[in-house]
Amino acid sequence: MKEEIEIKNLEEKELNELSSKMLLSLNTEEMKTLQDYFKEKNRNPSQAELETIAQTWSEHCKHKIFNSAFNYKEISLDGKEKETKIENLFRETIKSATNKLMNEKKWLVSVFSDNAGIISFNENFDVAFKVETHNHPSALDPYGGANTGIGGVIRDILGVGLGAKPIANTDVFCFGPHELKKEKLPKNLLHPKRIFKGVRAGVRDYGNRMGIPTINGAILFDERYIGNPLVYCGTIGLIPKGMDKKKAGKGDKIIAIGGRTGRDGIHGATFSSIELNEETSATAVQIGNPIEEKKVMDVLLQARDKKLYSCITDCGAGGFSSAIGEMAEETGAIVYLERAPLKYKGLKPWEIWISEAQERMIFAVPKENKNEFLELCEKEDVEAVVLGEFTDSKKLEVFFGEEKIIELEMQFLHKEVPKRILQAEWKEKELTEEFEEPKDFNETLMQLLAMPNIASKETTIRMYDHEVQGGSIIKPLMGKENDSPSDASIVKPLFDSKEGVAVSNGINPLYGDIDPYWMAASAIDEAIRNLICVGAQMNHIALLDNFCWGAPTKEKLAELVRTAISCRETAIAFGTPFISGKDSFHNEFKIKGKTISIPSTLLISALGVMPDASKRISMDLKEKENLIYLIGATKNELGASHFLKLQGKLGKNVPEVDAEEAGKAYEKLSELSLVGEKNSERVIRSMHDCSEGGLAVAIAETAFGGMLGAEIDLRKVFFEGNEKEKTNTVLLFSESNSRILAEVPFKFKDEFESKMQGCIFSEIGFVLGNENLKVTGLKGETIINSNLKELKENWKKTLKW
Amino acid sequence: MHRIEVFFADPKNDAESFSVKKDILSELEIQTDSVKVIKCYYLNAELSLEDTENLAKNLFADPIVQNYSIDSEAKTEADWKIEVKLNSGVTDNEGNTAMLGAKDLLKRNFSENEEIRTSKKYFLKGNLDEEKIKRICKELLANEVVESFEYKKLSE
Repeated sequence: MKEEIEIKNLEEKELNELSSKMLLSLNTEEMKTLQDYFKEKNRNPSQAELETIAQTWSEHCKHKIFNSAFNYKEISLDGKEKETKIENLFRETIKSATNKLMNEKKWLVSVFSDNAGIISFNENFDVAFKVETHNHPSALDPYGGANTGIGGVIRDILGVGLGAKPIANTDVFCFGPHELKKEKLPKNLLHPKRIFKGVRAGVRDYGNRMGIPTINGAILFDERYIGNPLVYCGTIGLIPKGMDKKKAGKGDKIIAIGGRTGRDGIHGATFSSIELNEETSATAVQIGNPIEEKKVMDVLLQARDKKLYSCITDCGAGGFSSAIGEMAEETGAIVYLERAPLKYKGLKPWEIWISEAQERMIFAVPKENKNEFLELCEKEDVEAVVLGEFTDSKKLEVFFGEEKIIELEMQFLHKEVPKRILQAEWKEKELTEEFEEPKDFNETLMQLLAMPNIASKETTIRMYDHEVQGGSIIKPLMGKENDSPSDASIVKPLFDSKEGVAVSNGINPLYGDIDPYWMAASAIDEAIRNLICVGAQMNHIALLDNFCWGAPTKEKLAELVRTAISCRETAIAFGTPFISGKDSFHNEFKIKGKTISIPSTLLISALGVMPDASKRISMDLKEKENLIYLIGATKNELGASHFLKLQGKLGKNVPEVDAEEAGKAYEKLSELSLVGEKNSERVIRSMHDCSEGGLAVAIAETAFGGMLGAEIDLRKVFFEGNEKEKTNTVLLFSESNSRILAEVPFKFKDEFESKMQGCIFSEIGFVLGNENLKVTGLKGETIINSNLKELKENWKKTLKW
Repeated sequence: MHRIEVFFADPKNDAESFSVKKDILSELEIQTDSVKVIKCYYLNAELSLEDTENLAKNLFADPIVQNYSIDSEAKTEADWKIEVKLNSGVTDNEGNTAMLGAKDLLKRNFSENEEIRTSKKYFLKGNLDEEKIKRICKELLANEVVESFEYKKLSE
């Protein structure tokens, strides 16, 4: 090696300085491990070697925190301490839930081992799902950051197994409040509204231009996302059966196709492992080009069907270094870096090696197929180059011209990252619940509907193409006036077969401010019940977890442990395995020595396979005089509700989940959704879930859907808990989980009730022929009597830009 | 080296100019009389005037609704001019695609160091001062992480 970096003789302090100077984001122990490695080899590393190790060992690629051991301590209010030891958090929580369900869920195909999770779809196809985050880049350059976020997750799906065809996207965004006063905005930060508009346009332009429908999403607002917005992008893909496995063989050519390599996104993987500050560098931002990626997709799908390659992966974080490093983990590889096509001259070899330039994929192509593969690329106008080949040396060797710049053992690179033991400490919080009773429930409902988290997202949804590919069956907006939000969306991807894919999201970071355990349980319950509402089948639902956390302090880590434990317990109780996930730490912003950390945010995305997509159910009220049922119990759970947020309070009674009870009801609703062929024969005509804003908002939304009024009586609502706590406020605004509104024609009353026997449900009212929403309170008095048009107008105006 | 500027002939077709004007008002609370956006292509390549004309007419401008000018600024009544460019080194996808189009249309190749870069010019009219123009640039039109801007007062 010509250019060496002195490391063999460094002291501990100097090692740390080197790590931070070179932006390696490696801690002392990791630096020492690599020092030992090179001491043994009796040489110093090249810069390219150090960069490769830093990329491979980055939090982003190896998920070190989740795979650490934990000492988890709980301290209760009376000072009692309880300590638990966890060997490997990921294995003992998320993964153990899936392992436990593995035997029973025969439809699991590939979990946690690839770019995305894969489950069975029908007899010819499987379906893959992945959700990624692209938070840090989106804070700096909202358009470009979000653009490459969606581009990256689409490549994840293209590169899963031997390649899947993207059929739908889903996006969830968390921003600072759009009405934030300019004076309150810290220096050098973009205003939340500008970030919102940029992110929205970035994701839109990529998905729309690639011809992938965006069918589902959510947008949340909270002050703590000001310096660090969250941008979750997800893609679902269809892959022929038997294509979930891949392996590069000795002698296979390493072929890179797609975009050229530039200085874009140098240090993206290590960058996401440190927090943002006022001087964060801009080379971490990448530029996306959806047209290029579309061409790459066209080559890939043709080459896949001709069986021209043995293995494939996308160039994501860490660029060539991670992609080739991972593909060659079991074999070894030799790479000639000077062959990589560049955007411009002047790149150093190590920069080419770790650049995160977009729209690139790496293939392992057997010698005999090389020419056919290259011809195909040329025909599609996609640049392709043979970078090297796979070997059996179990070593990664990289040359630039004559010069060898990397020689590392795969074993060291992939297996020897030091394990950490982390301390986590959960202190029970002392919380109180006090609030003012509403004077006028009409007024309170109006205010709730105008809150940004609840208000209509129509303007944003309309910017996204949800029709392209022609398969959207439950669309993001439905109802008489085409403007009411569906709980989940359904795509029927094959024209000659009737199966459908349903997708939904559950997210409620506010609950985590009280207890992350119930935040996780609530998010899982919300994602599942959203699927149940559109007619998905409870026995064929898979989950994705997506953790966005602040810096790993012992408090934040305790929240992580609680969330992960809850994920395990809730997923097992519901029988819904996790198939893939993602975690992102250091989501915070340092400014003038003050740290603004985001609320610990767990996004659960759920994927349901439906044997018959025509059995879908939409959320809008359909017909006057139909009965309205509320499934599930309402409890005194106003904690972290939007009603309390209106008053600027948090409360303490966070919504809990009884997964056994809820699962039972969901199963019966799944079965009922299948009854009847024609609309007039169906027992359930519409379903809508109760979430943000509670029963009051849910009934308003379902009424907006059909523009049909409704009359409900709170005296009929099933309440669980101390009768003294049963008030109009609690019944209307409590966000208790596992509740669904169902519309049932009178003629099916008996059939519905006998089927639901053994579950909690109450008939609470009926559909009106006019446009009024009427609610009778516990004393028989009318507490809400509002015109739907007025309510709807109020609900639509907040985010109409 | 030539420059092509493309703009809408009739303001009623010019949705982008309209929405920029609207955003300046709603986001920054700055009133303008008019805003006109012009797309610029810098052809850093060996091209004859004839070929440049060909590109402008058949590749960059939509002849039904747009006009173009070559090597001269489009005539626009305005008090201020702003230009927003990608920083050098930042990938210009639009420029790269324009280059592909030029290869197709002119049926010729270009050398390694020839390229097309794009930018946008904004012509603003109204009661505006330097401070307001700076805010418009910084808070709305340019993201200084990847872009830079220049502005100039046109009238006294």
